[in-house]
Amino acid sequence: MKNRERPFDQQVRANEAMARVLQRAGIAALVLGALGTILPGTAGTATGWAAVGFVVATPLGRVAWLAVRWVDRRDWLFAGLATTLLAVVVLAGTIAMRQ
Amino acid sequence: MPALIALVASLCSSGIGTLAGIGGAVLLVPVLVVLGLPASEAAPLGLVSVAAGSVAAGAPQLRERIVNHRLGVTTEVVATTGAAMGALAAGLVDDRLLARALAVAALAAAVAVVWSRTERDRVLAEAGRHAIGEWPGRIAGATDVDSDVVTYRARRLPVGLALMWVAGVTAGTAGVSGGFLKTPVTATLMGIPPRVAAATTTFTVGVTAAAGLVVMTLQGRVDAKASAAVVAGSLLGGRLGAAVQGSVPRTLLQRGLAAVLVVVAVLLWGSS
Repeated sequence: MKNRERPFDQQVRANEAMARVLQRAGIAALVLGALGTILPGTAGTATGWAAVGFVVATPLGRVAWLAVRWVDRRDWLFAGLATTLLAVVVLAGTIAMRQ
Repeated sequence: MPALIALVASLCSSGIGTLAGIGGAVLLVPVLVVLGLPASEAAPLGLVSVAAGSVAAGAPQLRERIVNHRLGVTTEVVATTGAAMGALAAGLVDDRLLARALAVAALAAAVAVVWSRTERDRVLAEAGRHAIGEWPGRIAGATDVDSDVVTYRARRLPVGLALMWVAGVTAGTAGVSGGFLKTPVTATLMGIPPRVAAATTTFTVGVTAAAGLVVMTLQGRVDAKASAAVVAGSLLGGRLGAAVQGSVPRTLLQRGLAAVLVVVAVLLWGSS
């Protein structure tokens, strides 16, 4: 059945899956953020870092997901752009570490 | 920065920013600086607020099929490069200069808020409802406006990309989203329907903020406790703002926010 789907049906399905992940990530970030604010000491700091990690990783994970999706659909130009975008972030992080 | 102040400030700024349609960071960062936080420490908190807002808005926009990921990724290669450059440079300059950059960004946002207007979507071609979404292999797509299906394709890409770089540098330097520049550029200059432009910008500002935060974290500029409070405050504020959006006169609110941004910009410039 999957092969008979039109491209736009595949897009709707993929978007719905991504929406579910984003919804859960939003709830997780809210819980971690609230716990990081309330908890004292090291536990609060660690939970705070987890909240920051969540809101940083989610948009970058979304780009990685798009890259994989576009490779799968042989949309090479945009798969290449998404990979380049992630490479820019890695390069910036490497430069920041050496600063 | 005490977590409680960060929580209250991000809750209020995200609520007001959502109501006015420009996000919360553009108000949060200047307010934190006026409250006494150095600009170099306020900027990461602004980006945390932007990234959290982008995550929260993502699901409903995806279900409405109004995000054009190909447009977003294309413009974001340039904007993220600008954000990374801005964040790397901001780690080397003093807070006075950063506060002035923030004052300029706040003024630009005030102008964008006042001048923003609802544009009508142009029907370029007839298309069936099955075609709604983004189209493979190019920066184009279709979206529904009332009962019409509107098709579109990106125009003036080189100029649009140049301005996206400016928005990225602004985000990386000052910690504001740059959405106040990105959305008008995408809609007015590049010819993308306003709803698609706004939703795509919400996606892209999250990526810009994430890239800026990676740099700032490695520079040791991120306060985990205050950031956690900003994540919680921004997500709650955004939801509250969205819940009461229909019952508040938007024009009045936009003018009020613009006035506040001008006052904050003057205060920032004066204190720097």
